[in-house]
Amino acid sequence: MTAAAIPEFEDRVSPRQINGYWFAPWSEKDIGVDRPDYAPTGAIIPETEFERILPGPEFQILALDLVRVDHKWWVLSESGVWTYSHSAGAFSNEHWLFVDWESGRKRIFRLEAIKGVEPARAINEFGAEIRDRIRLDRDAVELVLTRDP
Amino acid sequence: MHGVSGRLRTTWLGMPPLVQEYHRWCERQAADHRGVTLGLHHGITAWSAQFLASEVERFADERRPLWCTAALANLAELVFCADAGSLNWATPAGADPQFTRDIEVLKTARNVCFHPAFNRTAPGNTPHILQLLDELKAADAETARVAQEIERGWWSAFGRAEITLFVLNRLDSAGRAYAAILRGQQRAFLSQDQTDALSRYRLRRA
Repeated sequence: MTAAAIPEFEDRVSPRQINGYWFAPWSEKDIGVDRPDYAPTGAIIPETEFERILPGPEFQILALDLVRVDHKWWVLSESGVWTYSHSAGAFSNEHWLFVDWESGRKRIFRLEAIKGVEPARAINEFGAEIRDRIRLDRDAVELVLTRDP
Repeated sequence: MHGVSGRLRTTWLGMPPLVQEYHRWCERQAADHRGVTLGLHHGITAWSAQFLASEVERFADERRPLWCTAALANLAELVFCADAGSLNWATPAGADPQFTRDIEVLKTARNVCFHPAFNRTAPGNTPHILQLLDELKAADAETARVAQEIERGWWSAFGRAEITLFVLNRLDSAGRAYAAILRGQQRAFLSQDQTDALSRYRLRRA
């Protein structure tokens, strides 16, 4: 199946959105050179343009966490932090890996921590276009990531 | 077992006082439904929350994911059907949509485990395992790969550890939320401190 035929590739909450896949830290060796042939399992909206994100553990970026529900992307709220392995794992000191191939080559982001962000602040910082995909009654989940070289 | 044993320790199943409280609550519900006095009837349910939680841990340590998943599904039915005292799962008014969704997933996982002969694929009569696919595909890369195997016809892939972790997460999430819901209904079986420990996410605000 081509990427274009998978609806999750077409649904975009934000122009800055990066679709990818969450891998467990114990599955790092299973990350292939090429993108998996199934739909992305995660997405992030980084606070800054991707080109400005520098690799290396000394550079941390903040990103909004998106999860797929009914084939659409939604901002993860604090109500769902225990439902998903990558966010629940953050409480167990597991550093899950967000991997994407959108630039044509593999990029790996390491999840360092998660934080809560008020919905109004998230809309202000990550763009008004997320307004329809964020819960207004719960804090949103913000990811602290580093980019692997 | 692919992170299950480690994750277990951070869930409410890994907190003995809280397992004990869920255990007592299930027994009290059973006694009320049967109209008997709890103190006079030990072993009031065929399965107990405490026993199932210990079995989950044992199967995880022994790397037996299918049985671990089955024990989780059984525990979920016990906890979330105890209030009704029947086959009906908890649907509290005003519950968070995430709780409702977690319950639906757990119910479907229970059906996969305990209705193993269901193979008909008529419209509107989709086998339970196929009803889980969308949720599995949206979980993480490894779980999505298992979903792909199931979709291609290898239903035995349900017995993989990735599925156990998936079900464990849902049970953890729903169990934390349920404690807060019961507290809100003034039917709490946990102290406020215990409820807070379970239901507060302790997300430091950015």
